[in-house]
Amino acid sequence: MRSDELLKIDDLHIHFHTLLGTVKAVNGVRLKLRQGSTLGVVGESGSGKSVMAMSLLQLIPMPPGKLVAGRALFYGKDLLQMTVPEIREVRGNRISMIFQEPMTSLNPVFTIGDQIGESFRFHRGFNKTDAVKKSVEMLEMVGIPAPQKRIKEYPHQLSGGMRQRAMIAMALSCEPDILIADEPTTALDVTVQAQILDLMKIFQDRIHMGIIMITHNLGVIAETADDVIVMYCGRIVESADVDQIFHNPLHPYTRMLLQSIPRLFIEGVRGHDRLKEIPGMVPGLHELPRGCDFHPRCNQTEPACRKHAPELREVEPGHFVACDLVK
Amino acid sequence: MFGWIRGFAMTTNGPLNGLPRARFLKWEYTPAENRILHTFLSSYITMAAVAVLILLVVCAILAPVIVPVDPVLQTLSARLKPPAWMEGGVSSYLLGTDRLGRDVFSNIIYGLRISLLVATLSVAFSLVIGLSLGLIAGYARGFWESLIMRAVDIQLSLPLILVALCFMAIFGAGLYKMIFVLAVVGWAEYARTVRGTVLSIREKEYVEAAKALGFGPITIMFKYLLINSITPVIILSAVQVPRVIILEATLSFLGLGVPVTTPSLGLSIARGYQVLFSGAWWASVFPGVALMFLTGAINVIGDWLRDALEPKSREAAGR
Repeated sequence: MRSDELLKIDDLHIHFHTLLGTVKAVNGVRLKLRQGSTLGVVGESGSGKSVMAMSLLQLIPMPPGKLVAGRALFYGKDLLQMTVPEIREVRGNRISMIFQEPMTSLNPVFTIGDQIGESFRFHRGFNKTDAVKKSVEMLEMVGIPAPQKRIKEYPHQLSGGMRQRAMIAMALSCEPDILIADEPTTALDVTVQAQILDLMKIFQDRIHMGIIMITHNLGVIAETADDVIVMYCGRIVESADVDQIFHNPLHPYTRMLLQSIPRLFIEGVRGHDRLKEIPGMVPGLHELPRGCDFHPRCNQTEPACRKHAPELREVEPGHFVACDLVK
Repeated sequence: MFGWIRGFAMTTNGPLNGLPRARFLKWEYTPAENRILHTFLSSYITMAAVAVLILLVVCAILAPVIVPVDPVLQTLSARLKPPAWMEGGVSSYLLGTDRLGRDVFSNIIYGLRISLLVATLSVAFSLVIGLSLGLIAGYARGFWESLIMRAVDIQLSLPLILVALCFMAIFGAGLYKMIFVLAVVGWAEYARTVRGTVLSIREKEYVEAAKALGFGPITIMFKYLLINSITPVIILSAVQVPRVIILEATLSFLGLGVPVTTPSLGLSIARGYQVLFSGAWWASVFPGVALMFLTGAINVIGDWLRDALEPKSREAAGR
């Protein structure tokens, strides 16, 4: 085990038992997160990326969820087997999470200052005045102007970008080792997105934390990630560093994803090209196709693809692909 | 008559910061943000109801100062005196006397006192019980939820009056017994309402975020679930108070409420009822009117609170 390895997920399987049958939301995910690096997790809605992230903090309600197999080693301790007091000590303190909807992720009835301070009081045992002082500092650090005034305001008085900054301030207040960002910029407009991503980068450099960046926006990945995993139907289909993913995508799904990014100008083509899309829909997770999960939508399907599911294998150093057609 | 209040409230200065402004005295506010004040100032009925309620509450609190005659004092020589303005009325008995020569006005004031005491205490108790159980049911789910909610179902399937009657018949009349029994029969509605709101709030992202930040169940229950589900509880309480007042009056009317020596609106009505058809209408009509004003005023205030605190329900009702 390398010394800068923060988190190692091993063969994680999470299923949900529903009326329609068993949903295999996460199906054999393996990944590693290094200290101070950003791991991008890409996938369409329903690919299991959020479930994977939430399970790390035991935030999946069980039942209906069920941890079928797997380990998530954080400094050698398995997060998935921790007792309730242990995991609560980790949440917000060692591993923090920020969510997609800044509009609804803050408690509407308390001021911003109260909510940031709560974290200090809870994890660090600060008294009220110290917590307020620290909250002001945190707000200042996340770039909210006039923090003295802002801590007395309620969430509805802040804009979306401000609220996401406040969320980040809360999440980072205890200087966690890992920040899980579940689509942190999806609900924000583009200029604010860039600011928020910059902010996370600045903090990452300062406290040397690892970030798990969950998104379906490949632009965000290109901007922030060091390593990338691409998920489809609860499985990792490709995993490599960010340059390999963007310059040498090997899995057909990754390629199609990259082709479906809208572009304003393409050399030699004058805007007459139709935007490429991936045909079909993500299959329901309770009725996965036989063989490779992606074969019904793939443009290179061969008879073998319908028979057995491909294993994730290393095709070049550090580049893993789950497709048998890749040599 | 109160047009000036309305006039102040409605003085809009045109759009400022995109929202129309209104004024009350020298204080400017935006109707959209200060909905409670605005809905209050734009309804005469609400203002009147608040005035009536304040008047009645002040009377009840100051009862020993206000009342001219001891309410339980029986003056047989002054039996069935009509109200002061009628022929044969005596000025010291403003609203006349009952069959045993007790002052009706004094009995009403003291009766209000009992009604308000019973209503506030028993609603407060049932609120505490219902709120805690509803919160536990909504937060814990599973076994405890089923247990609590089945108890609620059973409680709500029994007519309140029947339960209260049985209890009072077994244990006898008494003020605190009645407060207790009314608290016990009232908790179920709170539990059901709170559980419903908690179930919807626990799925909100800020609760998820609070869990992700590592906050414990106590913090989440109180600072997140409870506080955010308080609005329907306030509205429900405004409905429950007059209900309990009526229930208290009913029990007392049937002789199973407060002891007969305690002044109570229900008891007064019951006593006056015996002589109602011999022409002494005042002994039961005035307590009845007092009861009507009290419950009516609280009901109007309840409507106002609902409109002010849950504007969506008003829009949904298409008003």
